[in-house]
Amino acid sequence: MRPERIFDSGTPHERTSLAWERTAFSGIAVGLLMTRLGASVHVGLAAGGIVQVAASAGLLVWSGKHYDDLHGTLRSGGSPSHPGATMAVGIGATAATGLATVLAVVAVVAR
Amino acid sequence: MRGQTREVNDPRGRPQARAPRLPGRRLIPPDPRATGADPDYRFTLANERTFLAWIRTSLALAAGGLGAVSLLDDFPGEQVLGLGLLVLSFITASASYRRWALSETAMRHDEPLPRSSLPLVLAVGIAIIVVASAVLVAINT
Repeated sequence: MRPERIFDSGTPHERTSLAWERTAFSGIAVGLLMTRLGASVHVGLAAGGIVQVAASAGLLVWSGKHYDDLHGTLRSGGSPSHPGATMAVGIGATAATGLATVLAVVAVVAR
Repeated sequence: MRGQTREVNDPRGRPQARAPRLPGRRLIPPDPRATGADPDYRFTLANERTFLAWIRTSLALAAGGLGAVSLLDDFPGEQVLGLGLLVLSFITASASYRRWALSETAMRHDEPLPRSSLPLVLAVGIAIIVVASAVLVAINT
């Protein structure tokens, strides 16, 4: 449910939605760098970066949808907490940074 | 709706909060919504934004590390700088969800938020990496 007016003056809901979107943009940037570094060693190593870009683009789309979905929850007094999404982003970022570290080691050794 | 307040009195008669009921030392804490009561939604969203800021910090470190390894070919401290930043980014990302879950659990019980050593680890780690890179540049120039 999307209201026609903002119902809280501090707009924490909107600021949180923007934080999700900025995080997705950061994930896309890291994915592009991983793709570039991986492809410089072997074209197959670019796959991890491409997956990271796709996952971050998915997160970006979800962020916009989640912003709309939460209006109804907040108006009815429900909790906006979403442990599933938080855990997915936490595990995804851990996997991406781990893979980026491995890629960098491979690139350094290959020189 | 607030969670139950758990307070004890200190010798001076002032209320003093007990230590938060943390979900043990599990690497991945359980769903915080299983216990306690929903806090003010603004606090929940603030905790979520803090978690996302940690994730972006981790991703920024990873971008810096990947950029150093990819682009700084003539820089003697390239490997120390790049791999060091990437290791720090991994540590930051792996600690972020646990930090969010522990804070959410504490808020649901209306208790003080647990302290974190992550900001100190990050600051000291970055300082060591950049100083080591600068020393390598000085030695190799």
